[in-house]
Amino acid sequence: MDRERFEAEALPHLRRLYGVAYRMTGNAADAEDLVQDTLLRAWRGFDRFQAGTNLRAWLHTILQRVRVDQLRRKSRRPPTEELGETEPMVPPPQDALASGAEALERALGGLPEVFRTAVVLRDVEELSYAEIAAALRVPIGTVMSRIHRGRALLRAVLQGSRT
Amino acid sequence: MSCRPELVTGYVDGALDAQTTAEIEAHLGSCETCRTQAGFERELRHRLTELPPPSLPLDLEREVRRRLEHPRTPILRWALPLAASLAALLLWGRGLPAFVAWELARDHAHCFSASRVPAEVWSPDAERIARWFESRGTMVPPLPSGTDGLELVGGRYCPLLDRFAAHVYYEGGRRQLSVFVVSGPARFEETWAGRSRGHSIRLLRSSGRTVAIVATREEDVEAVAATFTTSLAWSTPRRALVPPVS
Repeated sequence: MDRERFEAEALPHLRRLYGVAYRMTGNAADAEDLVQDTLLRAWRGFDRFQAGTNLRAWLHTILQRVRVDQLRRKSRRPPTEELGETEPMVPPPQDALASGAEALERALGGLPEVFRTAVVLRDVEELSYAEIAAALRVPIGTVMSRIHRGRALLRAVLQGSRT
Repeated sequence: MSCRPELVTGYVDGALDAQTTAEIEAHLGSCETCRTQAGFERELRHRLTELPPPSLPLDLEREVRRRLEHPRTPILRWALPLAASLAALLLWGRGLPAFVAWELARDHAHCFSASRVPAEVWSPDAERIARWFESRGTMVPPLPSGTDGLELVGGRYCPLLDRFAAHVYYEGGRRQLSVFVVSGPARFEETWAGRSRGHSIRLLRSSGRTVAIVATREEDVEAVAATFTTSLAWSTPRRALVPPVS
């Protein structure tokens, strides 16, 4: 019965989880592994989930931890260095945004994973700063910094693609 | 207030406290650069929110349901209990006479397969052999010097799976016989007879130790065993059998 309840509550988030996983890993096979391992780990820890809290944020937290474990097993860590100061930038005109979802996806995929993850969790998944901080195990100030730098990099790339 | 680009990001996301929000709003009113950044980020957020999610693999949900129903058990979850069970079984089983017989028959065959037995002490004198073992902490029963054409040759300590055995060699023509003194558990009453690896074996139990006679011919085993059955009231060991002093 518990498994049925878990499936009923967690599987509706499958598409969103896969979207984040795909954008984090950059390929379908790794994304599938990441999502499957995330849901299995979530199922094993489902008795610790507090009913009434945000299940989607909880699943994202587990997904991030599974991702870190996977990278650790592969002896490959996500880039953790913060980029150097990128400002001030020449303010682009508002119409400098590249048009088309494809260009945006490509620009997003080109970000270092540490910034891409923060931007995806905020701007695609619309998690709060507090939820992102919990998922990534970093302070809220770091979340703000990573989102800012990720957006700034996107701005530079998208602006460049129009010039 | 000077430009604080990160706080502009926090402002766009509504993540700032009231005072900082007011400060940023005031700054935006006078700073074209930060106003443009805020406008860009709002537009970017909108576009990212609207991004279509990647296509979901057709069988992903089915595979997830299957794995939830039949999760793969991590290897340690069964390997460790299995190893512990095997170790417990081994500890229990090492006292079984069939196992002891198999182990000693194997060692007997190994020692006599060499052109010359690998004795550490050479003597036809039973008392001298007994003193050699006793000086190394092992009491052995009164050994026969020989019987029916078999003569005492020498002895040594032989490593078994988890312990050492005092091993005494007898030879006569093409016949060979071993007498072992083994410490540790033994799951039989006073005596046990059987065959293992093509050898006849008799186990005798006394004073917490096992005396084993191993030979190809059962008659040889019984002849030597007869000398022990009359003498196995040998004294209680004063010292436990220990590995040889190197």
